[in-house]
Amino acid sequence: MDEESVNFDELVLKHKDKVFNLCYRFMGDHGEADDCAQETFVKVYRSLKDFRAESSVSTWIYRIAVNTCKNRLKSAQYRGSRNMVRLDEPKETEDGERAVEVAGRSLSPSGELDRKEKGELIQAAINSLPADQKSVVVLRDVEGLPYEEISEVTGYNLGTVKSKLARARQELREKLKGLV
Amino acid sequence: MEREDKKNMMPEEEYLKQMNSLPKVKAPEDFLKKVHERIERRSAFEKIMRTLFVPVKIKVPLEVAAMAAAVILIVSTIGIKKPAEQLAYAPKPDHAPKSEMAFNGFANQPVADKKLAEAEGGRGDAENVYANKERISASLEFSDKIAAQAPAAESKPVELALLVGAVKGNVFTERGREEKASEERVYEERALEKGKSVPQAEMAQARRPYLTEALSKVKNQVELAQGKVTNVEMNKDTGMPQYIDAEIPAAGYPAFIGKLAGIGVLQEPILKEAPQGLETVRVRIKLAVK
Repeated sequence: MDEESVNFDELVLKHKDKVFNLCYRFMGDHGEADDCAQETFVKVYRSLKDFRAESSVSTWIYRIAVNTCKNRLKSAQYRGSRNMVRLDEPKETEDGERAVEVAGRSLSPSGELDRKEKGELIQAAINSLPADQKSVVVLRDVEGLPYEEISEVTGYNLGTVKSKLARARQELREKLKGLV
Repeated sequence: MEREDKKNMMPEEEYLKQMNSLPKVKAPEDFLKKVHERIERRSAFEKIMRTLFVPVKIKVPLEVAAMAAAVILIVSTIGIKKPAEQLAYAPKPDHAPKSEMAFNGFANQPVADKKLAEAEGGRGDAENVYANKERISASLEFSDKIAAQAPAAESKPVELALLVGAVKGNVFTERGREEKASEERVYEERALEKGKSVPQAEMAQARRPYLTEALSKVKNQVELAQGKVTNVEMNKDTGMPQYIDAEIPAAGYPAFIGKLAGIGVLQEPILKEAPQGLETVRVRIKLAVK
């Protein structure tokens, strides 16, 4: 095993969980997250020589991960495989049309929901966001990155990051109101 | 309004609490192994692609590429044209057969040239390049076959002109014939005196007996000389004999010439001796009425 390979392995072991979590929150599916995370590190391996150290390694890896996830969401293959349900749009049922809302589930009393169920509902709400808002909210509210780093990762300027984050939070708070 | 909206929303503190409480999902244990497998798989695929499509790293200016393409095109065009040109300037075989078709004025050009002309005419279309090549090679083969078929010792025929109906010859020694000839002349003179031109058909009719008689006499002399008449060519307009082609043994050729002089007047120059090295002399006798 050469030095380069050892360095890469160390890089993967150091960042794999963070990248995997980011991918999971972005994609909302374990298998997709696994695939995107692997793809992210393959890209890291291939462009390791070209890394110019203008940003930190973690920021660079996050940027690759976010772009990989965005591309996957855009891809026709992904769209075809997923039957996504928008939470804010009506859905046809046997009883007739009704809006699907996170807060409107039968197990609505928050006290009865265990942690796992809460997590699933929050993830469903995140999934309903547009990709640009999703990336900002995941990086800030889930991963806890500072605004500046989010700006570097996403390529948006600081003001755009803040406005997108505010809009994303507002939407999520509206959708998650039933959890309180 | 905003207050009402805020009442319907999850409080910000609660939202942040919930988001922070989300469980951190960890990568599988064999994640690193999977990543390595994927890298190796991708590398193998890239190796195959690299083998199939060798990346050209030399950047060629468009002008140079266009120039190279033009040069290749010109060279290939010249390469195709060359065999055709060689054929066109090749020496024609002097023993080219003059068949009956050739005597009838169909074509004096060798067949190979005709084939070549056809091939040349078909050029211009890029799709016909290969077809032209095939035609040119076919014409070469054809001319070779003709050359093989032609006998090597064959020579050009000896051309003779025999005037019949002349007073000097022995043809009209008999009294009746002399009278017939003189009658014809008188007829022509009278017609001219009256200012009328003698119709061609009438003239031809008047000449027919002399020509047919001369033809039969020439045929007899050919037989006497142990030769053979190969072709008799009739005049298309008058329908009367005009050319007699015959083959005479070289030994009997001088005697044959002497006999012809007895039939009519042989016009100079006359080849009185057979050409050396020939066993058979081909003669072409033109018949005419004086």
